[in-house]
Amino acid sequence: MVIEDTLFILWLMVAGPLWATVGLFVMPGVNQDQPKEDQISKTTLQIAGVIGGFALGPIGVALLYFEPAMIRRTTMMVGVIVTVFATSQVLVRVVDPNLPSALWLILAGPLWAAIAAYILPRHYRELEADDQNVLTAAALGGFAIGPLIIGLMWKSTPKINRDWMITLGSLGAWQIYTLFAIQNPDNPCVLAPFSLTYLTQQTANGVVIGSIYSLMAVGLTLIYSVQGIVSFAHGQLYMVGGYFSFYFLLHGGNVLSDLTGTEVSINPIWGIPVAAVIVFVMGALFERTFLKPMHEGLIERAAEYAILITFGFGFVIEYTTLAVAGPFPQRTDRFIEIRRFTLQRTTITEDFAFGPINIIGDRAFAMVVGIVLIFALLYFLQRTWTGRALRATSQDRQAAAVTGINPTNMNTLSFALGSMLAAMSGAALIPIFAWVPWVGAEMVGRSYVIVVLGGLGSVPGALFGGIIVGIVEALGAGCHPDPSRGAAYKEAFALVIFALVLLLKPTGLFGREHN
Amino acid sequence: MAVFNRFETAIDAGIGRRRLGYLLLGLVLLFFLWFPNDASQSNYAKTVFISGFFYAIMASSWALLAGIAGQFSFGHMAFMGIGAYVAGLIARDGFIIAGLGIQITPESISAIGAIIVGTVVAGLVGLVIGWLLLRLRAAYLALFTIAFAELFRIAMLTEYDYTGGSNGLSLRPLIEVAEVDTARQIEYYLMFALLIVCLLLMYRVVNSPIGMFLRAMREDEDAASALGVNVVRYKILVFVFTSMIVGLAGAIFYSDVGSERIIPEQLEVLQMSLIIAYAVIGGMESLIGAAAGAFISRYMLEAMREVVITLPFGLTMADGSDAFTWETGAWRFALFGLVMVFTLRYMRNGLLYPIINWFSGRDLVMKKTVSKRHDWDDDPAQLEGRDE
Repeated sequence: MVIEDTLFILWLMVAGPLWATVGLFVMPGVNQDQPKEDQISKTTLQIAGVIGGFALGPIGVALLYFEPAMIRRTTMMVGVIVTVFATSQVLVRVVDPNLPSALWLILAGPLWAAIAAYILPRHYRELEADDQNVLTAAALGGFAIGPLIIGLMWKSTPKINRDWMITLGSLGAWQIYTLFAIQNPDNPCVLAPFSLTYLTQQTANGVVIGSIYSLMAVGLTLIYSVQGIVSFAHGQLYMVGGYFSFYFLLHGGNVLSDLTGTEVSINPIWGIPVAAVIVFVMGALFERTFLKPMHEGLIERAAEYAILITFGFGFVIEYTTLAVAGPFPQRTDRFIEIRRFTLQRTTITEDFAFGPINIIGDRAFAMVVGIVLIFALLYFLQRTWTGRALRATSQDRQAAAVTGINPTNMNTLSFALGSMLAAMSGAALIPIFAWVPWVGAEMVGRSYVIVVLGGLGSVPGALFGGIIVGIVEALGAGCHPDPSRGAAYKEAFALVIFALVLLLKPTGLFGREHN
Repeated sequence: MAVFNRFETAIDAGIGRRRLGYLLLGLVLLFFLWFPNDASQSNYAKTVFISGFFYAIMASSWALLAGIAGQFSFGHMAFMGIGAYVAGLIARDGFIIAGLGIQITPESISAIGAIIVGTVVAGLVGLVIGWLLLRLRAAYLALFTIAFAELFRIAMLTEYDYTGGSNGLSLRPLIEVAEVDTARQIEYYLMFALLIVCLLLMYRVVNSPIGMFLRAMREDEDAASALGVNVVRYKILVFVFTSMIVGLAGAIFYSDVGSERIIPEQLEVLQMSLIIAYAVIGGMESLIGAAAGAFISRYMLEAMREVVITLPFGLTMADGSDAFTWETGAWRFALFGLVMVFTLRYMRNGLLYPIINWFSGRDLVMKKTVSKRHDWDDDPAQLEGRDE
């Protein structure tokens, strides 16, 4: 063991807790002489003292004591992250991979999460405190810091705002990071803090692919916000959009050449609008035939009917495509000739550097398509009459109808538009992925994850959700200690988040709160 | 119609619809019992029937869960997989917790024991999932169960060191038979008996007060709760019950004579969608309807692998053959999906509903109790006169 490591560990084991205790007792004396309304609450000061003391020792305590304005959620967050990061580094260096620490993280984290999630909301309700988001915070905190969260929230029952959630969420992420680190200290992601290349490369991949995921998820969220149903045919519409593009590019050139008598070659980009138009019409027809009666009240138990009928629609599309196209992987030509974009290596210090980051040309193009289309959609929703009518219908059908908007048409439009967005993302991705008829089933899971994470019905939520899911998948697959397992579990990482969000905060990050 | 009405009156006056229905059911039972003894039937036909029984159990238990209790779970196949995988793994590797004194070694456990363990574990997982699902409704519930099923499938596929990955896992056979023909015979009767037992069990539940509570909860959870139905208890109960049924079915189907291996592909959402389609076509609110729907659909899908139509009047195809042959491939599934969609839209209770309804005599009761629509319902002048 290297000398620095020994000192580091000594600090964490002895000095850290010591200074944290000092901080705990010293800090409440900060603003005794201030007027009552300017005083920072005692608990906040104590927490700040513990974190500051642990992370930076005497310097931290002194800084906070003489400069109480620094006690902000952000600085505290940084402190917490430094602390957990340091701990995780110690665990990587000292703890043998076979020791029960991994077990602690695997078993104890979820256990404490369950205990906290059981106890705290009940406690809040008993005290008649505002229990919004308490469940989420308790579960996250239980996972991240174990029994500590119960103590923290039991005494003062703080109102849980976004800062709390972000802090606890990043703590939980660090826990998972530590788990990876314990499993394999040579993991490129664990070594990454000293050379960020791998991590940034993975993150960039995630962002690129995530923005196309977003496009698809936006379609789903649009349908939900207007009609209140989840389309279970979305993945198949995405898949069939890719196939329409493929067949158009395969035959379109020849047909046009025959018609005009001159040689016509079609750029692969044209596949996107063609697929969009065809699937728009398909979606509109389906909505008129099968979903309209539901909104007219002709069908009992509409929610179940909506699930089943869209599911059946997807089933038909999938098998029809299988019968037409066969189970062979297909792919269209590249959108652009440039194979990859490279961001040059940026060196900050000797061993702290980013890049070079490579992004495959077609993926970059698909990202641009995705972002442009999302902004076009946002423009449409915010600035045009029809878009505003759509939003009005999603907010209040009755009121919208009173002002002269036809809700029936808006339903059809929303379903057709949503399906169209799925098809466009399919057409944008077919040059990148091998396209088989069941590609939709895999993708649709992802878009459910995204919309639920972002909040069903929220367009910005879908945008951010897509990027988050892209990053989580890229990092999860890239950082898993066993690379082959990591790739196989790629979808599973997102699904775990999905299940947790559904259970803990069904409104998602940006969803409308239910009262 | 007139002929049918005359028949109807004759039956009502004579044997009675219900009794006729039971008679027909008995004949169908006899047919199924006799079928494997028909020497002219190939083992392939028997295999189709066996899988038909299996899917009938799956579809009818899904009908209980989704159609009667209103919980749209897409995790049905996953629970089947849990039953089968647990039974297989425990028979192969055993299970030891030294601290608690639990010690099951592969030598000490029999095939039946493994199946029981598989069923119980499926039930326990169902208990946890059912408890988690309490706070979710409709689409959210469906999404959560999809996530659960996919996670389970991915785990089974990836942890190939234990589960065999995509090669699948073979379970310890319940009965070891060397000869193929006898093995099919035994497998056939075993699955048929299992189907009957499961159907009887589920009927017992549906026709008890619990069945009524479940239907009440499906229609309006808050109203049912206000009337004193313990919603939490029955929701979890029905989830555990159906999980155990499918866990048992999965464990037995894959271990019967050791002819099949459980593979993760079987747990895909696509397979689940087939179960749903079977149940929808047969009738989601009737157990026997869903079971019959599954069996008939399964049989039709197999029979439609190749459609051969002999041309009449000596006509020939372009290639000179006298029959039109169509390798259906995936088209049969596309067609099947269309049938499902249109059933949903126009015959919500399934294609078999009119038949079941007629035999149960329910529409007879309806005719007696619900009066016909009268002309004066539309005529305000006559309505006024009626008030006096």
